[in-house]
Amino acid sequence: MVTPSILDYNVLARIDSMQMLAKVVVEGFVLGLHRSPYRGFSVEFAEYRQYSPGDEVKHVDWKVYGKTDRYYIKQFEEETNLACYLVVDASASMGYRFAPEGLTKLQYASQIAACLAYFMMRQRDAAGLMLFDTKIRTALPPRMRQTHLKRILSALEQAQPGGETDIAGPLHQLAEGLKRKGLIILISDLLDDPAKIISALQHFRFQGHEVIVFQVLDNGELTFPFTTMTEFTDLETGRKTMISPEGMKPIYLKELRQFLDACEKGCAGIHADYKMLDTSKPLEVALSEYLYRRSRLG
Amino acid sequence: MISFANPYFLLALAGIAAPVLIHYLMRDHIKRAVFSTARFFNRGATVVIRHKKFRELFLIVLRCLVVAILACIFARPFLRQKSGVNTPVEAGTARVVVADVSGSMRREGLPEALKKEALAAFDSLKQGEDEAALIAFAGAPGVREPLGKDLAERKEAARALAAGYGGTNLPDALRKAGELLRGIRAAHKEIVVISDFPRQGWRGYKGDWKLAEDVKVTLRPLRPAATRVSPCIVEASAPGSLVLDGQPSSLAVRVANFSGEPCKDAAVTLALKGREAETQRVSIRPGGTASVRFRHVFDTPGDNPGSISVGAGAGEKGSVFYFNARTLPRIPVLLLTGRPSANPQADAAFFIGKAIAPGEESPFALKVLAAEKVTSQEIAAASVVILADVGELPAPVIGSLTTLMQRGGGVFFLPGANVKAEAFNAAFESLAPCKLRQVLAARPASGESAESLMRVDFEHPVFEVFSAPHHGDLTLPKFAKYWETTDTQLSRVLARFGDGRPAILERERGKGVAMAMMSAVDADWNDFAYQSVFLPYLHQTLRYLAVRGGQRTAYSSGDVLPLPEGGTLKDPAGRVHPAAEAAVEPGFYNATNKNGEPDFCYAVNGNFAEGDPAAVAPEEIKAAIERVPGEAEGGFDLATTTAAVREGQTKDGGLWWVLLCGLLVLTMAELAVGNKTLRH
Repeated sequence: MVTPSILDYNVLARIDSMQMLAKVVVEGFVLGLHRSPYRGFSVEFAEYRQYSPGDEVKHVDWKVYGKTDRYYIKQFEEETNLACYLVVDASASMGYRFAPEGLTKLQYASQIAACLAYFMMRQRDAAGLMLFDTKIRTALPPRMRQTHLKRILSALEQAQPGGETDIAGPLHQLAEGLKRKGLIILISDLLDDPAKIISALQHFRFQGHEVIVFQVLDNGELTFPFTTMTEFTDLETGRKTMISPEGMKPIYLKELRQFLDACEKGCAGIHADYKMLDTSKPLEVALSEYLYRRSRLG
Repeated sequence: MISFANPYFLLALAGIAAPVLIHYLMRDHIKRAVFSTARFFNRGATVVIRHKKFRELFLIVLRCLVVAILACIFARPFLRQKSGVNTPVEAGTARVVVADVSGSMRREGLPEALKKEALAAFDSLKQGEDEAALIAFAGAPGVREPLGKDLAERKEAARALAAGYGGTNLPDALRKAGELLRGIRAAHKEIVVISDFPRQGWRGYKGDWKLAEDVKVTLRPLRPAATRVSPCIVEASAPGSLVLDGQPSSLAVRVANFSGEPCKDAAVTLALKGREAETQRVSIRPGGTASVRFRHVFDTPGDNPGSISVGAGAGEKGSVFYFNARTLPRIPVLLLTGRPSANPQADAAFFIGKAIAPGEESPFALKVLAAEKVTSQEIAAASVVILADVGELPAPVIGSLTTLMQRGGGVFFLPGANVKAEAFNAAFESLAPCKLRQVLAARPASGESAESLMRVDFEHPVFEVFSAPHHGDLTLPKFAKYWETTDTQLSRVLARFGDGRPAILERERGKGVAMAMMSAVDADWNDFAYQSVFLPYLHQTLRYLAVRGGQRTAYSSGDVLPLPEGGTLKDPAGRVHPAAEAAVEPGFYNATNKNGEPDFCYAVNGNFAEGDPAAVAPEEIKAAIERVPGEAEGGFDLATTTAAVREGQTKDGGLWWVLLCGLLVLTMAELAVGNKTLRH
């Protein structure tokens, strides 16, 4: 059973109510704006809804009309055979959080991954999971079974921040092992050399995979809210650095901005979707924002 | 070499610890935190921290400097020349002999002892190796012989020493000797003081300076051969100038008996023009004083030289006080009325004339004229001119008034209803103490219809007689109308009306004085003439305006006596001096003009304080001015605290200003760096 700490049912219900699933296409993750090239074997009835002007007449259920003398439209859930890989960074830097009461980046990334996995299972898509730091720590191949979802969620729940970040290596390793085209969703803080990361992502693109990158950053990393002289310890290297934040802040923010720009431009260069997520923002806001963004892209 | 006038302020240098301490207490407390990555600040962090540490260090240094400079500024630094920098000669011993030639040294045996001791002081020096100087003092010290190696010249000057009549001033003499030795390069620096060390001659020492540490003082006290001390005058007073008014004048002396025995029936004699006029006898207990007062009517115009002498017995030379009560004839007062009338009470001059000359004994010779009839000759003959409600005068008459004031006369303005402001201001612009603006009707806040005189300057000679209780109430006169004044900036306001406007003003014009009362003596304007203070006020005013031309008759030994151009001066010994010079011997000095006619008689007195034989212990003087070895440099050094400080304030004031400017620059730098220095 999935624990509430990882899978936020309220979030899922709210996204469900937004009737996204009917519009998400398998390959583009969003249906409704264009038809999916990965139509599956069966179409499963989902629910009725009252007819409103503009609806297709062919979807009117005439039997129900005969019984109730009212027009109802039949709605279906479509099933695809998309293979989706949730690639979650579990390096030491992902264990950072500025606010003690907030989520670490890894916890936040795990929630995103859990939500997406749940969606995919409901969509009848195959979802797989890979946790990595300098190497692949957990690898679950894409499956459509509900039991597989539990394994994914369980792996996410048990994920702990590990060693240093080496994003490119595990990604290349994963790319080499994939035989079937699918969707790669990388959830990471990308605190590595952007050129190497983009090179690894390009590896997926060469193989025909679609790539979505969620860059998860803590609000403390984005705003650098420190005010007093502080000795910082690098979570990954353990190196200590004495900083006078007031003088350092402009330098830091400038460097961060350049880094984020490099990540975003690199992703755009290989036609991968990129979204930066702030762990201080509600999860559903981040997902909604992404889905909206994805739907506009077509 | 830098010295400090107020070296104790250097203790404030300990305040340098304050910015260091504050920095230590307020320094950044380093927090520790983990962060996801250090990749974004690795490059700049060290530089930022280094800059911050450097700026903080620089800031501490700046603040410490500010505190240090502040302490130095308050310590009043000045540059002092090193000893011997300007020394013309080197000597084994530099000795300054300070000889007391004051009046107290005239006592029996002391002049000879003085010479003997002075010669002995020079004899003990080595000719050609040591150098010496001679200072003699009777009042202000004078250098008879500067520092030099020619001892023969110094000895000759010592042989010429003679006691004068001036007062003893030991502190100034020692200070002078210390200044002579300052900067001298010598193995030994000495000051030898030869005096009877009267206590009153040491009272001027306030303990605010000491001699330099390398200066040794030797005191040679002298005691008179005769032990008996006659009673002597210690204080005296006599009128210098008088008006011939038939009133008796007071002459007083205070006689002291400094001996240890009672003085019985000592004769105190008043002599006038060389003849004994009156003798009183007093008995004085040992150490006590007695006052003797004479009253005499000086009824002879001109000089009235006299003396009051105290002699204990026949054949003894007593203590004498000389005076010259120069009696002026009746003061010629010209009263001009601008509103003559057959009705006496309507005449502007009626009340004034009655007050000036109430009877035959008046000290004023009054002449009353209508303003339009006055001539320049009549003004030239007057000492004081009163303009009673006179609005304007012919130009020649105004010129005569100007001449009158330039020679010391006085003009008294009493503007009233007959005066027009524009005409008055135009006519008397160069004479009156102010201009007139308009006539005001009194509207005091009390609801009455008249103002009183307020804020009277009781220190002014005119009003000082009213200052004591029950000596005339100047608030009694009520003024219903008065002139408002303008252009009073250069005038002295002696009294004001209740509304604050000037009521009585004066202004010096040349040697004379112009005075004005802003309300005419008129029943419609005020009731001043009906008040009892009117007559004394008017008399005091006229005396003040007239006597300003009076010449001083009393002088002290050492004062330079004025002499008319081309005239001569005959001293008490009968010697004739062709030029003005300092009086030495007490007595009468007669000045003659260039025609050989007697011009003036000066009464010269010695210093009466010299009669007090009480002596101060030489050890007391020595302990007071000699610096103990190891005593703080510059603290009370004569050289550093007196002349050097005064010189420093002029010559080395630049150093102080440099420090002040430096402080300003440092403060601004501190502000700039402080604002730029990161606090976190």
